[in-house]
Amino acid sequence: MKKRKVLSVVTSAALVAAMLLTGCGNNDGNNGSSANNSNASNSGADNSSENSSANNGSSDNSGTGGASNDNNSDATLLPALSESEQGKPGALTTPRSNYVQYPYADGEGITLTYWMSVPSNIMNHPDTPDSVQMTEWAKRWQELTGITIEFVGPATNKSDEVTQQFNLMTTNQTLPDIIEWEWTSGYAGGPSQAEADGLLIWLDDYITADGPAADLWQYLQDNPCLDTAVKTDDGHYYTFPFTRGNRLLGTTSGPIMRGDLLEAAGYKTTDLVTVEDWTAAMTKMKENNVKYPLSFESVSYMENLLSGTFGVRAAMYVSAEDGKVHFGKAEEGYKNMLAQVVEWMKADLVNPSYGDWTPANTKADIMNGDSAIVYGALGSRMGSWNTAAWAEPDTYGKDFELVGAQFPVEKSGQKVQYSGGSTDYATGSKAHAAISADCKYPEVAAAFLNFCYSQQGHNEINFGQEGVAYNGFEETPYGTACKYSDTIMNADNIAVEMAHHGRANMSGAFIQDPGYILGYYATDQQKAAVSLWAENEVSGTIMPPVTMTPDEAKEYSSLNGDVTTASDEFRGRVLAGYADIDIDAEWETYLNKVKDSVARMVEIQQAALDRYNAR
Amino acid sequence: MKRGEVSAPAMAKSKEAFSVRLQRIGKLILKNMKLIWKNKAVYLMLVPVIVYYILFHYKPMYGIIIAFQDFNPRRGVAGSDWVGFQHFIDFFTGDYFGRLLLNTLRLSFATLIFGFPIPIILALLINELRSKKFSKIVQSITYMPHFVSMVVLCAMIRQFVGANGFITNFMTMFGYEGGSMLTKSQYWIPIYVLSNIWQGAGWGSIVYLAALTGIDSELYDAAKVDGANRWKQTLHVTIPCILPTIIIMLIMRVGQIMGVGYEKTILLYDGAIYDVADIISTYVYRRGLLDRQYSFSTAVGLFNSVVNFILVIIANKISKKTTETSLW
Repeated sequence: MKKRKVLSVVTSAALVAAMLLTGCGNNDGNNGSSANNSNASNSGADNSSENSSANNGSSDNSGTGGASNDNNSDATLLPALSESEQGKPGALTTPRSNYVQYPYADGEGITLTYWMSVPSNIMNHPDTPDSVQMTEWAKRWQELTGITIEFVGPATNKSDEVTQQFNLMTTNQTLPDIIEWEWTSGYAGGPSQAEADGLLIWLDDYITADGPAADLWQYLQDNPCLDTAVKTDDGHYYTFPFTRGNRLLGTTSGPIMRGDLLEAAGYKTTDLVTVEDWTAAMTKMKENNVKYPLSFESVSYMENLLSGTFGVRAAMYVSAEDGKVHFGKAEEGYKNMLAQVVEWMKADLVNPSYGDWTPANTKADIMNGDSAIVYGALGSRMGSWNTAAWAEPDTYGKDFELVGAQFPVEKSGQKVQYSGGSTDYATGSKAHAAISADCKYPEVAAAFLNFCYSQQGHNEINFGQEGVAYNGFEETPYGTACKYSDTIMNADNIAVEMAHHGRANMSGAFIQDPGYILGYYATDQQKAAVSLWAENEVSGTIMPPVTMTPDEAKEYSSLNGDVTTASDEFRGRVLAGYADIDIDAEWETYLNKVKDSVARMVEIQQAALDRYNAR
Repeated sequence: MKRGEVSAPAMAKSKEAFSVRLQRIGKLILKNMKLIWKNKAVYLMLVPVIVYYILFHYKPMYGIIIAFQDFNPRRGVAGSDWVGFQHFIDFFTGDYFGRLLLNTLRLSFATLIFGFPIPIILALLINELRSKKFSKIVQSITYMPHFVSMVVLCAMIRQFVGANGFITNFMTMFGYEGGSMLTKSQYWIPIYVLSNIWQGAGWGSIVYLAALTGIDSELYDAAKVDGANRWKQTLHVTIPCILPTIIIMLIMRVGQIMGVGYEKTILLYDGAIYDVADIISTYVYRRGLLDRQYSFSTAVGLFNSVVNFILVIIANKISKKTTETSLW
């Protein structure tokens, strides 16, 4: 990405200029006080900190900032970005400010505790079997910020266990100082309830132009769409978010095809646009003795691949037509999707025994050519399968090649609107750092977390130390790639070694940089696929990170339990009884059972969305 | 004299009686203390067990009160709001209550009726074996599945009855239409019950084998003198002798009616067969652990326990009346 270079040049120039200027007053018109003033007033409009400090009535923004850190004065603020330069959804900017001075002066002699679950990549590293503490990035992070951290949290990556551990942790008398968690849906009642329960504190006093998290503040100013997402409905900041602000990171799973088998049947991936094309190509492959041309690892993978084709997402989503919330599993498109799958099952294009849709079966079928199309992740599926097959051309054939393909659409001329994608504020990951109510030094904690959102910290936390973990960047046709060092690229397990040096291939409170994916993906097929999927305009139909009120959350979760039971049962009955099931009748029964609950759930989500849009 | 008032002499009398009783109790304690002191080693051995029960079985019961609360882990038991019987009402009036109850009872009774007699029969058969060595081998082989972890066992079952499993293939010879048997409602109960027997019969027979060894051999000799063949001996000597064991086991088994194994069901079931396979405990698992509705799950769990408790008492009463064998 050229943007990064341009930005860094601009930033450093601005910094030098600003440093010179602070000595001789504010009479420069270019990027001196007038520009900064306009910046401040601009930001005042969409920055809630003023409102909230008025609400709190107790603390003064500048007071807090000044007390903890007097490195920032208004004169050093970067000029505000013009509207066209600001980050757009799916294309957030990279951090460009270094407001907070590190090592952080007030952090000396203070040890903070940081709760995060240990990701499997770290557990798999021989040096760090059960803690983040000894990873290179954790050490560097502490060294550079001058703040000592004790990392705590469960060494497990099983979602249920992490949740249990989190719940246990919240019952403790004393909470850790920093907690990484999913706050919008992972805590009943969302961040507001967590604040009311005495779990986390509002960060309005810290994420300010002159506070200890000034760099995050600047980043949010540069990316107003993210700023909206990471606040509560009342406009409070509560988290240092995990941000996946680049389209290349938005869709990393999608249709993956055996290019060689497709070619043998006389097709190219680009020929497969509509469902009809898919059926034709699969039928042809079937004639070529591909047993089940299309494979699913699980029913949810089936939904991920095909629900968008029929104009729905298999969850709550925002319709591109009316901009309203819909529940995909109660929309006609969901039934149509199942009807299509059933057609394919009847024609033996998909394994008709859906009990056998397992990851193991899928892998075996793809590898030995019994299947040609799957939905899966680029790293763990396409990458590792390609590499495995190429290592043994005698076993798997010298033409073996998995390539990414576009998601199918129902009729020609339609756009891919509901398949893949993710929100910039990567909710769903338990990776958003909040400062707990028991933290004695919230400024220090904020400054520590702020490091990842500063220009100097961004690469450190993503990739590791330059010269050790990576050697600069290189331009590729797909974007700027991180040039990982031999230490990483020659390791037995690249992902594990990467996670030892930087957080880019895991989730956490930082801005995930797309450079990692382009540096890490070993094959051009992966890079091509990720940029192909990145072209789709899909993020608008994803439900944004709304928050429900505690009462809404309670009612929603109670309704959701029974609706999930009913929809799982409907889906299961249709797929198990594919041969002679009357889908329309099943659909009627199912809809009658859930329609009231679904209507209420949609109503709750719509209200939450309206509040979100009104932020 | 008004009702409720006690006349002065009566009061004095009761006071006197009270002090006498107190003295008696004091004497009793003193006497027992001596006894306890005498057998102090035995009582000392009892202490860990009592502590264990208090710590792990009685203290946690205090947690039951979250069934009547809107429990929030951060606020704890003391700080959560009270909602009374709301969760129970939600459960009983929910869409799935009838089906869950029916499925639970059906699965439970099927396991009881078909599963309960098998270990007894197995024990009797092993008992009849002449060759000591062979009977040891048979025992070891039948115990084996018990030691296989439930997860592994269920993975095996999934293989066996999957689309290409050997049981499925075998069934196809008898006109089975093909496909994984676990996605077809009508096969759920047989798969569950038979695999339960496969896993548990050998292990379950141990207690009966132990009971069998306790039978006085003179009884058999007497029966032989009376001209009883092996079948008659089993019928008139063996079974009556192990009947108390059987009944105790049955009563205890009745106490688990509502709590059929959720682990196995969760590992095997699937949306397609929710209509027969979704039971109370799996529903609680989905709601409580996956959706984190702790209070609701506790309420349902409490309901289960209460029903189980009542069933045990009833079974015990019936058994006491009819066979004079009972738990207490």
